[in-house]
Amino acid sequence: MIPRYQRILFLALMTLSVLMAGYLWRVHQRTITRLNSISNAATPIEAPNGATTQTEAVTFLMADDAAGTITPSDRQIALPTEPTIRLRAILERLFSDYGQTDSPHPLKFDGTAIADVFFLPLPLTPPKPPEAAGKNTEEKTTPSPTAFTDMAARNGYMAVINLRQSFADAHPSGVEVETLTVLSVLGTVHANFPQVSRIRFLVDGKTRPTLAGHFSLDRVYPSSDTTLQSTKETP
Amino acid sequence: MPWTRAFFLLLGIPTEECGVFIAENAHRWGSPTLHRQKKCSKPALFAAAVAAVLLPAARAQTPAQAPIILLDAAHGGPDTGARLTEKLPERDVTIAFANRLQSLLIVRGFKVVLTHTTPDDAANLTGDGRVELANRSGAIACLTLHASGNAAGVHIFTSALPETEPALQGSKPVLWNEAQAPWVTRSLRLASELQAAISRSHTPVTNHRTWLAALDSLTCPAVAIELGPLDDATAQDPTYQQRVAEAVAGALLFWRGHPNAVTGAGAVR
Repeated sequence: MIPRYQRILFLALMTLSVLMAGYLWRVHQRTITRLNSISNAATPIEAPNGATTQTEAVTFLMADDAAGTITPSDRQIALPTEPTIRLRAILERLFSDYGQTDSPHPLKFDGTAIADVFFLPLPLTPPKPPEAAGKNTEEKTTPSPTAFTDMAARNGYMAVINLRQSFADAHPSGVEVETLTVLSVLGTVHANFPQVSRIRFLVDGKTRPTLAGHFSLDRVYPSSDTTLQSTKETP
Repeated sequence: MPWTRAFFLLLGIPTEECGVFIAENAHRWGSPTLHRQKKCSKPALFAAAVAAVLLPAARAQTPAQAPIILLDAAHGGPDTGARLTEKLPERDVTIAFANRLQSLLIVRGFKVVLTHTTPDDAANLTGDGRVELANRSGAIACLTLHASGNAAGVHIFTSALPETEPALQGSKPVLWNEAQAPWVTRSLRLASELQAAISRSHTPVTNHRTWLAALDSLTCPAVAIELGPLDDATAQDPTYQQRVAEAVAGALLFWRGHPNAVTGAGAVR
């Protein structure tokens, strides 16, 4: 014989369960209705601070595995004005295109490819003593947009591209495919930042002997036009 | 003392710790195989590069000796290289291609020097060690063999180092990773010959320049050859490999009489 208080407790819990199920079902229906009400023409997410509202032409040097070529391609994209963020945005866009499944140079990686980008004025000089450094407090490691142009006119810059290890680890291995990736980056930097005369790569802040087992990634590369015409000789 | 060894190497005298000798391997039809005894220090490697350029007499060959081709099957040992398929590592393909090419070259009258003959031979072979073996071989052509599962066809690469005239090099010290610079012009011509020959064998082929540590330190006409998949065939396909190997061997036969086919000793073979 079940005691009376247990029967009452059971009925109360059952009632609560039914009520909670009903409430969840109602919330579920409301959420679906709200999501369906959002049209494709909804206002896009606001651009980050510093981004220009107007798009501009940017030249990408796009690799093609099948043809073994690197060809320039102009795109209209909105970019920030600060040089390092600008270069990073350009390279992220380049790797984003390579991340597409229908890319002629497909690269599969999770997250972003670039950890950081910065510029070093050339020639590279040893750090100044503390007293000398104190006199030139206005000199910054990362140049302002105008200082960038002025200093670059004198000596040029080295662009240091710090890749994420997850990107390098996931990069396809092979001389051809690694060469095309790096030449595409070098050419894109050269096309959009003529002030940059040298380019160096790091992976998570450290030098790495090769990108994925072949291409030497620990060198300092000249910034130059890396356009590759098809040299493929087919029968 | 690393600098003592460096001094001896500059004189062209292999030392006990860092010696390299060529042993005639009777099991490989008289093909010499280079053996590296122990790992060399950085100063010794640097001196080896200097000696290879400044003291070519250190590795002069007799005129009657057959021209030497250096074949370096990339990767090996714990370094498996790229994965061509789930169960096919690059190191197995490169060594198979190197052995196939070796046979064809021996038939054509070359002596072939292999940096290693099986994937396990390369267990203790460093990248600098391979280059050291190549630079001491006196080869008229050094071929680094790769394989890939990505880009289709055969891909030929030469060093992207800027070309320098050997005469301008003078007595300047040679950086280990820029030793190829005086040889780039000849390497480009060798690559052009190989590209033409492979194309004639009805195989799509590209010819580019790249930065490869294995190429940049070599003091011989040096080219990297990468076998990519072709139609339904992977780079492991014997028919595909044989076709490319015959084209390469034929091109090297032509290269043998080419004015640019000189060894580090500066002699035209």
